[in-house]
Amino acid sequence: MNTLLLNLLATTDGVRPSTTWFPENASTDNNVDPLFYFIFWICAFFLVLNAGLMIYFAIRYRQRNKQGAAHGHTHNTAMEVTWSVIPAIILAIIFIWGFRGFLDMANPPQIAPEHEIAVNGYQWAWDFTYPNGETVRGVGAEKPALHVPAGVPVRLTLTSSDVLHSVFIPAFRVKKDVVPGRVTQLWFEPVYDASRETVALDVPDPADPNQTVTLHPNEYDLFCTEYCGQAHSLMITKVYVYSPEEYATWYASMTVTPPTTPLIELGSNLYVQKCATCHTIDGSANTGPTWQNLYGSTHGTSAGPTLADDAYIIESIRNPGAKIVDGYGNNMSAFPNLTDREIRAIIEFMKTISDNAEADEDLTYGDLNDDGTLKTEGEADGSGDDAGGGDAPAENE
Amino acid sequence: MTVADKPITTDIYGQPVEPKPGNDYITHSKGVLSWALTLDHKRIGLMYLVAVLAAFAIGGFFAIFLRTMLLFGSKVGETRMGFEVGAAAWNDFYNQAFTLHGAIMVFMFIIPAIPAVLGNFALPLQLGAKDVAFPRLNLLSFYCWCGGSALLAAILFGGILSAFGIAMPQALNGLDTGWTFYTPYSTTTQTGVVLATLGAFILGFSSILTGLNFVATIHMLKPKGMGWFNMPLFLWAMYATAVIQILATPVLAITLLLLCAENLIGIGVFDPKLGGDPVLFQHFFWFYSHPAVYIMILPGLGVVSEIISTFSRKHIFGYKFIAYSSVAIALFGFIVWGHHMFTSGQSAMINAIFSLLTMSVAIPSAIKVFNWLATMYHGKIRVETPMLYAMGFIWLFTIGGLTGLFLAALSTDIYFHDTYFVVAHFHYVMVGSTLFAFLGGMYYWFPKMFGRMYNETWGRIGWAFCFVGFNATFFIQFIAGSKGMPRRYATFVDDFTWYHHLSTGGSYILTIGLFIVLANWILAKRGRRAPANPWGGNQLEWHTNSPPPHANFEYDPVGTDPYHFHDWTYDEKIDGYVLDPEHDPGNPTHAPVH
Repeated sequence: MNTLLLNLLATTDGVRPSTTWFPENASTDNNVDPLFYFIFWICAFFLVLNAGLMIYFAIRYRQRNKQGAAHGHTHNTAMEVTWSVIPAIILAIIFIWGFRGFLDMANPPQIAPEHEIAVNGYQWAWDFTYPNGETVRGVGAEKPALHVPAGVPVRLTLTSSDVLHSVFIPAFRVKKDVVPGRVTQLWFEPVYDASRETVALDVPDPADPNQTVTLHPNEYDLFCTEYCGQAHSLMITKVYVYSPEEYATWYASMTVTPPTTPLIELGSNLYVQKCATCHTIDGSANTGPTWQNLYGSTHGTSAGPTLADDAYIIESIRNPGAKIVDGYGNNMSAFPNLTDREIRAIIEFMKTISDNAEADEDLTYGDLNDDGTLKTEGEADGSGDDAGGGDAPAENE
Repeated sequence: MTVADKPITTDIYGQPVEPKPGNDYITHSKGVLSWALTLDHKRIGLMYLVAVLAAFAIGGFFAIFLRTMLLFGSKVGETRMGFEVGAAAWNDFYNQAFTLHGAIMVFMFIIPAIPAVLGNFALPLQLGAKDVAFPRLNLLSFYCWCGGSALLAAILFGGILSAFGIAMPQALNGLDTGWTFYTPYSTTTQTGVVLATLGAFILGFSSILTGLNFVATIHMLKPKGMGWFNMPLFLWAMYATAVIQILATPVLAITLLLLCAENLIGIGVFDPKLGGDPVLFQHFFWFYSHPAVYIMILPGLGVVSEIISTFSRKHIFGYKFIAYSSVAIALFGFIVWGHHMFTSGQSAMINAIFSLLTMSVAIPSAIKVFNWLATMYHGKIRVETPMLYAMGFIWLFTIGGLTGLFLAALSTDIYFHDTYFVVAHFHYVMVGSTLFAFLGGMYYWFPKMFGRMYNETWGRIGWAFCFVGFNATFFIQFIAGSKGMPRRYATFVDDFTWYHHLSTGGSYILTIGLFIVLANWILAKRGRRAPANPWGGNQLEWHTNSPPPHANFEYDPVGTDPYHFHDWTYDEKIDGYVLDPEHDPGNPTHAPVH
């Protein structure tokens, strides 16, 4: 599409730096900037023309004497036709250009399934699920981010668990609404530029889960642009663009949780990533009940008084509507992508903030089976090195 | 005491009129009930003026409140204005502030502002009529406005109380959906959606009744000598507006009723969990709300046509093109609503059709602007406050209209949709243009409304503050948006900090300007008595005293070319224009003199 102008205005080898009007452009296909500048100069021309004539007339023909009225032509059909037809021609050009660009943006090229990422929006974060069935976990206390390879078209399929959202990645010039009850999609082909500022991300080394490896992706913003309630403006995350080689490492590392990760730390991170927008840990009420002193306590629910034990918490995450705590609405989405081991980590974290329970601070991820139960002595020895390797949940297939 | 200081006004022939109590519509009768139950279109216009200005003040308060919050929007986690930025309370405050700002400004201010205030006051006068066709419906329309606004005000105060920790039932618990009420958020939020939609529903009736009245009035009450093509262009604009009000507003009413039903009994028209479609709501909503944009701007285009011609002392150029372009905008306005859903996933074919239709609106808009410029060409331009607002309007409307091209074109709209670029665009059209036309129209008809002249110097100073403040507030938002700043954000990433600082600074300047305007109007109570025709216009409202008598005219005026200004001569003593009785075909006692 518009190849000539694209070639003039966009570079394919590297990221176009930001300008007065646009942020950097880190995708190969850009149907926005060239048309923008075309319209921009048309606007500038007509604004200067109109404002210039208006100011010139106001000075040149200013009233010198209040007496009398001006004579002049009251109509001229030729002029009317002229200033109707010229805008019409310009509009036709803009329409065709915009439509062709849109078709390009709307229709992804035929791409390999590895690069199709399922994006699910919920109040107020995104889940990114990859073809290997793994859902991205946030780094540290950060929300899950989108990780993409340079050099291949990437397709996002978009769904929503609750209300309207919209994925907007300014650096790729893409946006698409996320509509509950529908599947929408968008696509882009990222560009990686090692000469630009990169961030250092430590991920578990797929070759050795006990080691980490440092990756150097470019970092961009991803915004939700459809108002979705209280924390709409915090429904933002990062997009990381990797070179193809580093992406392969990252992709493989997704399935690895270092067995030495303390369960409480993992649970705490998961809390921040997935739960903190609705549940506090300081005792104050939010959309959902606070977690402070929750574990081991008894609360009135829609199914009568219930003890918050392991079974209750697992049920509340898998099937949130089963027992609604008195005084709260049925607002929570299910979290099918949390593994049993991760829920177990969240439970251990909850114990640390409850006076009713004692957390075992020495437990690590490697101490758990896939179903979240503790390993016996014999199992712990033999199966440490494949820890995390087989916990892709069936729900994602 | 000089002549000018004497409490004396003059009629259209320059003859002194002793302002006795009861001579004009303001002093015609006394007491609260004489206003509350009045059927006089001029008094209803004044009541609307007070009411919509109160709404504007409240909506404006929320605007300044949220712009002030945005000074600190990048300080997530720090404490500002007594809240932790980005925490639940901060976000709730912001979301409620932008929702109430939008809902109040749209439903209670911009839509009624020009039709209900200036339209009510000037439309029957321009027709040489005694009143609108249905004076009782007119009063009912005002009380519909009051009723709907009372519901929105109840939600607003409930929301404020609830913010101070006083528990409120959900119906009164503020509103945080945005003025667009998009589902399914609006069916799941714990705020007062049902009451708010009922409020908007009732406000809609106010709009429908005003529109009906104006259509009937223009059809039935044109004076002798006035056909469709020598009506003032303001009447063409009001007629086109009224047609939209009558045809589009019922769709909003139906949509809001469906939304109430969805909320109260879960009928599932819009909820995907019940087999509904949230995008259907967007189609219903914008089927009204896009034409509503033209309800907001068309009356402004009409006001500006009047001011430009009168203040250029020259016949309007291209009368028929301006008149027809109002009708064209009204008709095109009905078939472009889909451009609000370009990113929703609707088919490429639908997008292409709506994109093309949207572009077409630009042509009648351009025709108007070019014709105004041609009117100024070789005029005798009196650059005073109303004309400054009209010229400010041309600047703002040109920017607002041209930036619409970026949003009508498909590929660029995908990028700009729901960013600050859109916020800037519609503020340029709705706030910049409509507000400037409203203020300009108020200054233009002020002498006729109140029989007093405002202070010209302060009129210009107030204009300068508004013009600079408005552009400083909103032009920078185009750039923030094109750099990727999404709208309706209570917090933002650091990159956008200085755009927001500049914008907030501009909003303070605009606020100062608006207070200068208000003070100028209030202090005009002690201003010089206005002559019957201070500007030398030939529209019929200038053919009666300022302020007009209760029945508007001493005799039935005869319609002439409203833009033929040559019969009026300037009289320095009264700083106004007087008519040679010989040139007043309507006056039975004077004409013909010879």
